Amino acid sequence: MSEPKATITLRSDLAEIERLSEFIAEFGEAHGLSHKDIFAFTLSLEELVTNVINYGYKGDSELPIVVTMSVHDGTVCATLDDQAPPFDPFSRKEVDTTLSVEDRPIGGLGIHLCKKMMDTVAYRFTEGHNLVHLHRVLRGPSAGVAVPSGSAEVPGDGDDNDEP
Amino acid sequence: MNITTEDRGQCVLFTLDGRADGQGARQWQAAINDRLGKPGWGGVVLDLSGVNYISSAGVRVLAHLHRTCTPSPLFLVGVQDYCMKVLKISGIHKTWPIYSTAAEAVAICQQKISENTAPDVWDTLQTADLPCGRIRVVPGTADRCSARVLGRINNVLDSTITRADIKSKRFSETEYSLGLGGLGGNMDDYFGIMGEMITVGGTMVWLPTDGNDTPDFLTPRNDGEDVLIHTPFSVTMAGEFNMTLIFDSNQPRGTTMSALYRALFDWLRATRPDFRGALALSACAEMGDVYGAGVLRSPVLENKPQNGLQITHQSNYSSWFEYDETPRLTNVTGLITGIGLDLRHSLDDYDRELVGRCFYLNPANTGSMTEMLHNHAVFCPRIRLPARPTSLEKEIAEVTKRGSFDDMRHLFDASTIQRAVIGLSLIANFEPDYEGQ
Repeated sequence: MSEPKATITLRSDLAEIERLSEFIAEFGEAHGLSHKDIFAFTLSLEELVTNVINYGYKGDSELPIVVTMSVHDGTVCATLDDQAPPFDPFSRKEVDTTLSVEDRPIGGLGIHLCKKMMDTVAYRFTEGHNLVHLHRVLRGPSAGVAVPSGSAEVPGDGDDNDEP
Repeated sequence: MNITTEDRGQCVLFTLDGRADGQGARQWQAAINDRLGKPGWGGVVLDLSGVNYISSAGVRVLAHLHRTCTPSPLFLVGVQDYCMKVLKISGIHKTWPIYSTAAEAVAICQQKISENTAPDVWDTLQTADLPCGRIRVVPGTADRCSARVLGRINNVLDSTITRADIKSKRFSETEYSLGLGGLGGNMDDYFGIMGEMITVGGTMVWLPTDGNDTPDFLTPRNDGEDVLIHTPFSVTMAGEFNMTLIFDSNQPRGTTMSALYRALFDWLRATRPDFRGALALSACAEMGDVYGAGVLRSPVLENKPQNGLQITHQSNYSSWFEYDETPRLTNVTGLITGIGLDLRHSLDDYDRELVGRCFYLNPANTGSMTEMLHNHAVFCPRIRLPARPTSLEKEIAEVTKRGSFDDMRHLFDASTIQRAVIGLSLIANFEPDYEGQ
C-alpha cells in the first residue's frame, strides 16, 4: 500500500516540467486515478509551475518549488509552495473565451484552464511562501472511490465533465 | 515531441507526436517558422493524433499558426479527447475543421488550395498599381453593357411618386440593380413603406421605411420562383461584367469609394478607348468604415414636403434621412452595387436625359465633384476573401449562403474598402428599362 501523500521538489528550470509530469503520473497510477484526473492535475500543475519559473522566480533561482499531492475520500489535493514575491494567480479577471482566436489577448489562459479543471482553487501567502491549493473530486471508472449514496454522479463543478 | 514536416503539393502536413507542453510548443513553433517562413505553400494540415497532452503554450502556438495561415486554409486531424477538452475550455475548438485521418484532410486542403489559388489564372493576371492600391484584372466579356433606367430619380427626390409610377419586375441571378422599392403581394403592402433597395447575386434586399430600420431580404430558391420587385425607380446592369478586379487597398483602413472610383476612371481613360465616362460595378468587399444613409419615409406624393423643396434639401434632409457622421459599421463585409459618372469625361456619347434620370447630388455626401456616385450596399459580419479570388459570383455566393444581413444602406462616398472582388462594366449606353410591367 502506497503512502497517501507524495512530494517532489523542483528547481527553477523549465526542464523540471518533465519530472513533474512523471511524478504526477506515478502518483496517479499508484492511487488508481483515471487518465482524465491525471490529465487535469498535469495540466494545472504544469501551468502553475511554468508561471512560477517564468514570472515568479524570473528564470534561474536557487529557491525551490515544492509540489505535494494527496488523496483522501475521493478527492485529490495538490499544494504548490514557492518563495517568489507574493502573487495570487487566481486574482486575474477571467479570460474572455468568446473572443475569436485573432482577437484574444495573450496570457491568462493557463490559469483559466487550471480553474476549469479543478473543483476548488485557493491561494494564500504565509511566512514568505506562496501556497496554492487545488482540489478535484475524482472522476472516471478507475477512480476507485465509492460514489456517495443517493447520488448517481460524483459531484463537482469543474467544467471538464463529459459532454451529455 | 517529434515533429515531421511534409509538403503534399501546396499543402504542408505537420505531424506531431508527444506532448504539446511548453517545451514541445517551442519545438513546434520552430518547425512552423521553418517551413511557413518560406514560400511554396497554400494551406496547412496539422495531424494531432499522436498528441496526448496540450497546455496553454500549445494553444498559443495553434492561435499563432492560425494567424500565420489566414487566409489560407488550416485543418486539424485526430484531436484526442483530453486535448479537445483543452481547446473547448479555451473556446477555440470550433475554429478549425477537424478530420479523422490525415489523408482526408490533405485531400480537402489541396482541393481548397486549388480553388483559392486557381494558379494558372492568378499568376497570369494583369496587374496595375493605382494611387490607392493594386488591382488584378480578370478579363470578362467584350459585349457592351447597358444601364437600364426605370423611372426618374427626381420623382424620388421631389417625393412625387404615385401608384401609377410603380413597376413590377422579376429579377434574376445575373442582374445587379439599385434604387427604391419594396416587396409585397399588394400595392398597399409596400407603397407606403418603400425604401432603398439593392439586388446583388440573386438576392434582393430593401430597407422598409416602416420605422423598424431593419432590412428585409429575399433570395428566390429556384429559377422558377416568381418573385416581383416593385419599384418606381431603379438602375439595372444586365449581362456579364467586362472585367473582374481584385482590389487591395494600400491604406490600412481602406480606400474611400470616391478615391477608388476616381482611380478606376483615370485608369480606364488611359487604357480603354471604349470607356465613355460611366461605369457600373458590383463588389464583395472587406470594408473598413461604412458611412451611409437611409430614407425614412416612402417618397410618395402623399408625403411630399410642404415647403415644396426636394427631400435632400438641407431644410428637409434630417427629417427624411437617417445618415451617418461617424462610421455606422466597421470591419464588415459589404455587397455593393453602384454606378459612377466621371465628370472629367465628356459624357457626350450618352443620352443626357437618361443620365439625368439616374444621378443626383446628396447634400450630406461629401465626395468631390470630379465624379458622381450612387452606391447601395448590404452588410454582414466580415467574411475574409480567399487569398486568390477570381470570381465575384463565387464570393457573393459565399456571403449570401450564410443567409443573414445586418444592415443595408445608400453608401456615402467616404466609406472605405480594404480588399474587394469587383465586377466592373463600362456602360456603353443608358437605355430606358422596358421590362417593367
